[in-house]
Amino acid sequence: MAAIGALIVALLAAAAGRANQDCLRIERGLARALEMAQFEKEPEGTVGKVFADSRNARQSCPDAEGLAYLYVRSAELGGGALVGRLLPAGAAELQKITADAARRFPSSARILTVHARVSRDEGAARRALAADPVYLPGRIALADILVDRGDWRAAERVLGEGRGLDGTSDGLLVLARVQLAKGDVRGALATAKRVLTGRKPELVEPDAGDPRPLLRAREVEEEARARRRSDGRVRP
Amino acid sequence: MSKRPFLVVYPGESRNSFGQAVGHIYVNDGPERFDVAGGPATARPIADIGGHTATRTPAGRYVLDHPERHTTLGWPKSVVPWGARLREVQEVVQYEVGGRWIDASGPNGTVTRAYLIFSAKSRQPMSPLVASRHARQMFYDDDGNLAARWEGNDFGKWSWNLKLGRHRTVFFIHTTPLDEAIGSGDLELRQSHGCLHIKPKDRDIMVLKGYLREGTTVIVKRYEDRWQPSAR
Repeated sequence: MAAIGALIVALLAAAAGRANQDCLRIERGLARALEMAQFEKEPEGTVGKVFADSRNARQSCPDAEGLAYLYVRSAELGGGALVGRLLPAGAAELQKITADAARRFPSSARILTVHARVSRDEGAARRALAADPVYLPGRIALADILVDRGDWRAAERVLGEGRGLDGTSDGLLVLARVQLAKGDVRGALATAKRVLTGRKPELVEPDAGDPRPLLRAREVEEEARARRRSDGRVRP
Repeated sequence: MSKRPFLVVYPGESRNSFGQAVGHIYVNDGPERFDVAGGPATARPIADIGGHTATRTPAGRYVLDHPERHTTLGWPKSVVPWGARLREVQEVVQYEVGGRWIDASGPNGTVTRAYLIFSAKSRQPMSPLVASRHARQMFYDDDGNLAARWEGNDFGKWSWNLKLGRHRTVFFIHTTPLDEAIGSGDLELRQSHGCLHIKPKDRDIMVLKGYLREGTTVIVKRYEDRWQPSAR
């Protein structure tokens, strides 16, 4: 009897192992596709495929954090709409998707980071940082939210020495925002320029050529220039 | 003698499930029609990666150029013609064009060069070594197998340039590699960045019926225009 029990346990374990392997295989393929999307003429097709396939895979791979991450990240990138635009269903649907994933994977720094960016939720950003203090996109998301709240000192502390920001989609942009908020107009201008010229081609998170960091960097540049002009007109 | 068919494109007369403006190609101005998706309906061009822009397919009267396996150094995945045979020699991927084998990856590879150009235009410059690595990886599947033929060209299996007068433009009628992979299955066209996307199955029908061939007139209407049966 015990032998039969052991056999059943062994068979179940083997089946679970196979299922995990399948999930890993799907995840690897989709992750690779999303990484390559930035070099495609029209990356929306790939982003849409990753979004749809990772959503469908949730049924058979409910515990696969990697697939859940690909699902929320491809949703954040538009889910097949023009990259950087909202999901067709809109902001509320996007927030629901990331909130659900954040609840399901509360210790996943990368999922919490996407949720923090989408919902501008400081708590989620702090949880991401707690889950993995060296995960740079988590730090950047928190710093970005802190700048929005007017606390550039805290944002500066979170960013630290700013190492590796050029290997992220929006790290240099957030640094430029911090510099502008603290009144370092020259620094903000120089960093905003680096967003447009100095990012690495291989990023920590795949961004499928997301134009938003570039567009926001241009806004920072314009604001910094306007501030420099108005400072120049001041006569004591 | 039957008159030569012409095509009229209404790029914005319906919407796909993404809420994007898509439309139809009408043969001889209708009622026979095929699905089509043009560029985004926004009034201004949208800044895009690689120094490109996403823009409305401009209204106008065009003439189709010859069918081609389009290649360009502007997009890394579009350097190698659709269907070209692949092989690897001393860790360099090569492709065959007209019986000649050309380096795709490696220091002198055409795809390596395209990655360098693209990354420079995207303002995310990469080293030749990284460019070559990307160029090589592109041809391998997830299990590490080299594809026998290249079927990832952004312009699909066949494309037709939309000429204005005698001059080629940057706009083409073509399918996408993903749609080609889905093939005759149920697929929904997605907005392009300015070209006219069609379904592979429709492309085959339109070629068979002689609609898609060199010299065919293509009239692209404004996104606001709608086809009217009574307009004929």
